[in-house]
Amino acid sequence: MTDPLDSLLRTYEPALRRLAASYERDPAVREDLVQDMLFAVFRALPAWRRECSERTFIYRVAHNRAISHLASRRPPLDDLERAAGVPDPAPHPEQLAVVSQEHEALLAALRRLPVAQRQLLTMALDGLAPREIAEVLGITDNNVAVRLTRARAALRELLAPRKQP
Amino acid sequence: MTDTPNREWDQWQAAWRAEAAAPATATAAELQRRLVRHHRAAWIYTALDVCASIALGGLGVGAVIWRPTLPVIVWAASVIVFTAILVGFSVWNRRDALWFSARPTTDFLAVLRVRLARRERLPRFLAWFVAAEIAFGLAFFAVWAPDSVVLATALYGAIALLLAAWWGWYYKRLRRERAQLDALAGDDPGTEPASDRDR
Repeated sequence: MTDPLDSLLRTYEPALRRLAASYERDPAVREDLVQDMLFAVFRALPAWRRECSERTFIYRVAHNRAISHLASRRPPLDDLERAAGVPDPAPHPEQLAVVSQEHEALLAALRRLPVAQRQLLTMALDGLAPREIAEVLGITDNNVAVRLTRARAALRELLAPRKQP
Repeated sequence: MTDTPNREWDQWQAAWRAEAAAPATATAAELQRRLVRHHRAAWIYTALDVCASIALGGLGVGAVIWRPTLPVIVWAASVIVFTAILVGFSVWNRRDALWFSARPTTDFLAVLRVRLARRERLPRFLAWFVAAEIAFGLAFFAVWAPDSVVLATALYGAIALLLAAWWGWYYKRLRRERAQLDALAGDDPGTEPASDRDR
């Protein structure tokens, strides 16, 4: 019989992996971050009192863990964030596929965005409703809408040069 | 109006979800084992703190029982008082630092600031603590062992130098973390957390 916690982790692991990829471009460090996020979720779950949805709760814990990671990592944030515009040094064979290239380009652009905008976009891209995003970030629904519009514009601007011939 | 923004968003969503599926890594059982290790380590650190405190206190009490003279009583009292202050500060200053937060991001950033402020308090506390201990030690040696004052001064000087070196390193690290945190919190100014308004 499958452990319910196992199935929960399986459900959210892909989303947490995507989230970690938007925060960390080094594959090894990213994997550590994924494991730390899973561990943080695992530890925090007993404290979930259903005051928010399970998904909101898990995204909160994961984002908070990612923010702790950003706050404590060694090199200055700005340098890393600018360097994050460069694709990963070891391209995966699948990267040759067009969709994967789009994925890498999107990730690189997301990593160049300020963290607040990145958080909004990653959650919206994962399909969270504005209400859920508001609950994760601790801001109002209206604020989410305003910020999301700005974040989409910023992302569009970062991705635009690629589309020029 | 066209549906361009939505199509663009759909494309981004498709690209976002296009990552090759990685094999599942952590199972609940593995995480449980990690949790056990984590708890064990936390208990070991706490036990070491307690054992060290008891050992130092015991040393003081033992010395008083073995030779109940005024200098020994004063020395033993100082050991117990300084140990209690150090352990008390250590426990108070790192309270709730190991919990994983499920708070909203804006609140969590505030928590990170509080934790950082606590860590910034540590060097100041240690400076006062060591200054008090040195002052007490020098006074103690001047009254009860004047021949050892020079040696004690050299020893305390070495400790002060070591502390200053550590302080320099730690201060740089904290300043870097403060800058990181400011950068994170200052990403999107002009919007206030919901907790300040309608939550």
